Amino acid sequence: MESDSFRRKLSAYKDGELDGNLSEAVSLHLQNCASCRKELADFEQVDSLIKEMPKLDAAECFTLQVIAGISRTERDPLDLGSFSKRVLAKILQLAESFLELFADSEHEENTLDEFSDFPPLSISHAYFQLLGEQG
Amino acid sequence: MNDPAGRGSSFSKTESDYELIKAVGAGDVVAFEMLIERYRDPVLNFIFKYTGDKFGAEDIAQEVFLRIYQSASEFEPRGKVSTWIFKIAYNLSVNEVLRRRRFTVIAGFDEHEAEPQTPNDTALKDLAQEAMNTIRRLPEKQRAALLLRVNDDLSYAEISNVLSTSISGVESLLFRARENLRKLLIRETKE
Repeated sequence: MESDSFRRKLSAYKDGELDGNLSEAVSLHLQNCASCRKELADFEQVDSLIKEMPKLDAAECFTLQVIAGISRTERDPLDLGSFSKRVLAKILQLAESFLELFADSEHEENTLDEFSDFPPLSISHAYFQLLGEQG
Repeated sequence: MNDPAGRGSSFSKTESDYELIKAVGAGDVVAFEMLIERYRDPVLNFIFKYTGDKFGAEDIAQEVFLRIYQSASEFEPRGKVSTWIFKIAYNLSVNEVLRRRRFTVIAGFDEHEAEPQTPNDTALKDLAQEAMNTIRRLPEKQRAALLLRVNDDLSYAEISNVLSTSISGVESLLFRARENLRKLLIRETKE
């Protein structure tokens, strides 16, 4: 095994993840290779620095907040509250747009005369004439 | 949510993770509280060190436990509970890092850079703080593998499960992570 191959096994060797034979071979190599010994020592230093990295402590109320979160989810498993609100808002928006069609048009001002342009002698023409007489 | 065991639960502090998760799957809130107490600090610190965001870490950790509660009944006893918990924590942390990256691209603003330093930060050991800053420069899978190995003592097989990669992949990730950190830290110490 080449020196570089041993070097690549140093991390797993350090973690105790090599099988017995390979681990023994790396141990033997380390006895004769100063640069691998240095690298292994550096890996150990890197690990100690990681262990000394700043730590966070969970807030006192952490567990309570999680439990409260579960209660909220169970009351409304699919968050139907906000879902129905969103659907309702869409319906209202559509209804509003629909009403605006009429509100903006000039049809508000129109009278029945607008509909009385049926061909003479047609039933509709006669009907509108009757309506006009009644009005 | 129910509490079949009542506050005087039959669970002891030495209860196995598997017994706890089984009870959580049945809706036992006391078992769930015990599971949270057992894992909240390792989960919180993994997220904090992976994302580098001390303010967001607690929110993500809470989300991890919510997911655990919601899917406890689907837990398959083939693997370890701790591995499953770290897998959820890892996945949510990756999502957070991606979300933050998208936000940075869209808004041209790095939320993380804007974090104020609390007085305690300045009192931290210089080198350990340097390691914290340096580890954030590692590629994400290398960072996750190293944290899970060094801080949480997971085996290569467990890490491979969390990261959805092969055991030889984990070996390579850890070697490269240590090599990179060694170079970065030694270079910075010399400078």
